[in-house]
Amino acid sequence: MIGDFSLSSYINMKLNSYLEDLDLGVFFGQNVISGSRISGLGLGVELQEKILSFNTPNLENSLFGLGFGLSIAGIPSVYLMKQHDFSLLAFDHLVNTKKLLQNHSNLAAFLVVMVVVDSGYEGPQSNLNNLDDLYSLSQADIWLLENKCAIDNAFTSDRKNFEIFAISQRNLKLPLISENPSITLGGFQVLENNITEDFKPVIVNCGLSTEAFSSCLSFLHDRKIDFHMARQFKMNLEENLLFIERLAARGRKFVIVDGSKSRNRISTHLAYALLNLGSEVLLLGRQDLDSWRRVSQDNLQIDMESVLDFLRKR
Amino acid sequence: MYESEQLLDLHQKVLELRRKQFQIHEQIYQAGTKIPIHFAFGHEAIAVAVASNLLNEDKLLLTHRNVHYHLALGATVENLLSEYQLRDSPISGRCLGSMNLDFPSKGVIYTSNILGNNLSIAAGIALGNKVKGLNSVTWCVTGDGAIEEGSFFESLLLSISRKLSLVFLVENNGWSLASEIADRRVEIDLNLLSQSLGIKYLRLMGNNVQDYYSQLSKIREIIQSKNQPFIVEVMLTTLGGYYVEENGMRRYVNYHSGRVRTDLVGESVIELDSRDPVYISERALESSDQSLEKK
Repeated sequence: MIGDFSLSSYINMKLNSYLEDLDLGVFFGQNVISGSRISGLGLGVELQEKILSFNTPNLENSLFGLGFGLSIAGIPSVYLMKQHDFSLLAFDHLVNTKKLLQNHSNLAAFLVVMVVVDSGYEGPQSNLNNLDDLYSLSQADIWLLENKCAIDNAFTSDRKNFEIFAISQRNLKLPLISENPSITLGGFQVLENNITEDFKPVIVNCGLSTEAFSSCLSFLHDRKIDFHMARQFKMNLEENLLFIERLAARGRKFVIVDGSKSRNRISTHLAYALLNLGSEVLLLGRQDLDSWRRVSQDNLQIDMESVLDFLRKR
Repeated sequence: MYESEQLLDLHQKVLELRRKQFQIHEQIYQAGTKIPIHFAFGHEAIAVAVASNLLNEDKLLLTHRNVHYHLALGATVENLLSEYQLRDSPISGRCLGSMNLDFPSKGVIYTSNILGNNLSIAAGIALGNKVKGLNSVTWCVTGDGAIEEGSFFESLLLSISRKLSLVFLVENNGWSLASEIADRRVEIDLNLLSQSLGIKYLRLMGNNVQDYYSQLSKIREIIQSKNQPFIVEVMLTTLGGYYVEENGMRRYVNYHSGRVRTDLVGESVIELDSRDPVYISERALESSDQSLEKK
């Protein structure tokens, strides 16, 4: 079954299934029921009888307002958007409206599904490939849909009145990865067993820096270095800190990979928490901030020797 | 529609609304509290006309200047003072303060102090009610400052594209904070703008609550029969302005918020012409008394 799906087709199936279970709902966005349907993410929704689905004009700020208004009216909705950068136009709603509605009752779920264009070569202006700032300002629950487990977790959770599902542009058409975690605690999933019974290092992926993470894993694997790996699947500081506390109780070494371009990284909070708990941490992120201004492939480059040195050091 | 006696009652409500605003003003500033209230002296006629047109399933969205609508919908002075001081009351009870205060039992389900923020929320609520099959109208109050925001144009486009039963009620007092329209931009002809988008438009002026009520009732019928948005622009004066000396010149500054500067303005919260809805309503009631005496 897994081999039949790409990441986008699996998300599309889950999205259709979520909407099918609603009594009434609205599905909207630019180019979502015609044309490419955002890389196929909206395919088939328009056929659902109980769902009003429509293409919208280019009004990102007001489309967030539309979703919050529907939520107040008691109608669940999904806003499918590409690309994540355009959410900048809606920060009033993401911050102020969201805060204002926290005391409202009977709000229906408003879910934003957004593609983070992290594929590179986008030009210097399209520069928001991270979710850290979005999370920091909105304090919304942001789910990172990176593999089957993360997608299943996100869709089976109880829906809150406002949530964001984020998908990497790099991964959209890749085959669906099935990873069965032994633990899904807080905002991370740990992808190997026995994490509380040994002292192997943990390689942690923060945000959507998948390529750098994968190359780090394969580099260590080739050198027969035994490690656990963990992927962040939800931006939520409290839940992440709880997770780290559990892991750090064993005194492991942590290598954190964070490809975000933000200067306000959630990985910094995680690293700080780990250090406070007596762990050793190597935080790998973007150092060359000038690269933001250039058109580039946009990959995070990791100095693998520094990772080896860190892991070997007693 | 109201009978003739009820229409006269609308004028009484205008006078009552002014009295209550004064009571709130006095109580707050005698107590020396620093609550950022945007009084609406001069806005009473439109508030009473809108409140009297709201039906059961209708929703009303307000702005930071909302005291007149809450009072017109039946909030007491005590209720509002409680809410302003973040105490519980039957109005909202959600610690929303003066600029975000809502009144769900009367249909006020969202109030925003961010310029233009409530417009797209109103579109969402109108769409939600349409999806639910309700034959209701959503009323969204905004101002001549907020129509400069991109969200105004976006929300017009959204509401006409989705055929939403939504009234954009623009309270045009000609000022944004302490700057006049001419100080900050060119004129925006809302009539032409609405024509270009295929949205109906109506301008209200003169502060006659009876006239406003009737006009809004007709608009409601059109909206409900045709499922379309409407722009209503109300020309009004926010009373309570004052003069300042600048570079040897005397300059008028419109009232925006907080205490009315009675030390500077004297009687200017009461005008003896059509700028003041109280003046218009008093004249209407007087002429009604005279006609009754003749009969």
